[in-house]
Amino acid sequence: MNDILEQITRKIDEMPRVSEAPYRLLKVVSKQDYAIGEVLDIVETDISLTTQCLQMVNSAAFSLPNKVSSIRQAIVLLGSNAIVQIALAQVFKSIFATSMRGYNAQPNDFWEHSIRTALASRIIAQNHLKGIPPDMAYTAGLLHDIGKAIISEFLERSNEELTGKLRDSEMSDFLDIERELLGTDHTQVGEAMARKWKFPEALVAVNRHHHHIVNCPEEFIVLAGVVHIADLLSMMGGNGTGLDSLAYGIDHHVKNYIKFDRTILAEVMLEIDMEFINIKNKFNIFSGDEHVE
Amino acid sequence: MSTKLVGIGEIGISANPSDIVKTMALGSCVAVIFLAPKAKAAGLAHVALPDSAIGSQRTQNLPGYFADTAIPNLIAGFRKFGATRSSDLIIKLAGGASIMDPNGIFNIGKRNVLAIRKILWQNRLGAIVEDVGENFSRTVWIEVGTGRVFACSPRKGTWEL
Repeated sequence: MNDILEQITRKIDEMPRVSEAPYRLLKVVSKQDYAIGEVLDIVETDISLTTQCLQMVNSAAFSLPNKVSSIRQAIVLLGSNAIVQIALAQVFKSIFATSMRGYNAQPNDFWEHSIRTALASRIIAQNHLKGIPPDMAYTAGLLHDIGKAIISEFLERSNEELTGKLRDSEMSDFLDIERELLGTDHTQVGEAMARKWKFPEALVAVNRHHHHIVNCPEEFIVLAGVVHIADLLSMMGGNGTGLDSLAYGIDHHVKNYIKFDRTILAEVMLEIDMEFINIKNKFNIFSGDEHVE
Repeated sequence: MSTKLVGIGEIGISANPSDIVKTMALGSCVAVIFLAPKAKAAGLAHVALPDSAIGSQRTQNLPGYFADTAIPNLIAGFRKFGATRSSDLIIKLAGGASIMDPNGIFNIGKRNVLAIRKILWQNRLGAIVEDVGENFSRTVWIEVGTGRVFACSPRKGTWEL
């Protein structure tokens, strides 16, 4: 094992465990079917999560007429969908706050890419195929790139070498660059993080296989395909994570699972844009952060 | 100096020489850039898709979203500044990037560029610079005062169009 790989492995091992609430939340929303009461139970028993969700609901962006003091009330006003989104955003805030300097990304890029991929995954699951629960697709889309949080730090250290490689290569697949420089890539690290945090198997598989679905376990392959397409559409829509944006290819195995043509693709792009524009400000959880050029 | 940010599907035009008109992270979208040196105006449309037939009612507040609505709107916008003839306009295109897709279904960037060329041509216009295609995202801005156009990308640094 090379030196960098050893350090990356140690980094994953040393990561703090995810607290109980996110773990339970993921388990619930990854089921085929769940009752909103289950989400309520989780949010309400976690004081800091309740507080954060209520702060967000009461922020100017949601422009609710009266102050909301309970999560139950918020669900009535905003719908259960919004509460799940807010809760997920809050529990994984620290990952998305990673600077991603190694990818030469702007501070909000990681967050916006993840949210846009989540929305796109949900739209595809809801309107263009059967059998994938939309909330599960949303969650898988949101958390598909967590490996980049660790990879970024190590890319930053090999910045000079990286710049050289990018100048000289055609870059058809950024995963090759990550592997060449670090001995691993963000899908392998993402898989290890998802396992460490005891994410549901579906989310482990999506982390590992969202760029090349062909080796994905059969039971999760459609979900991985959804996130694969959503990820690419997110980059095409201008929400990448810096250096690697658009430096990937389509895995043509997806066409065996999801039917796409040019018209459907354009319709999906339009839907994603409209939802993203609508939601971006409401979920801009890092809006207070300093913008680094 | 103030920067006017043009969001996806929006059109931004300025005749204030101290302004910068800027649009971020184009991806497969295309910035259609109009410069009118005599009228001292400059601006752009951030075009996302080629054809409004798929849903123009959803983009009523975004006149630049589709190529076929963006260009007539840009032309009308510049007419207000006195740029009425095609010889009054200098046009540049940037963006329209793609991921690797040998079958071309995902090549929205290329379809955007083709649609824009066609509609420009139907209006007896054409771009003198096309910085389009490939697989990197571009951020583009115009210095209204000088008419200079720049692009940058995390992978490529900054360059002039």
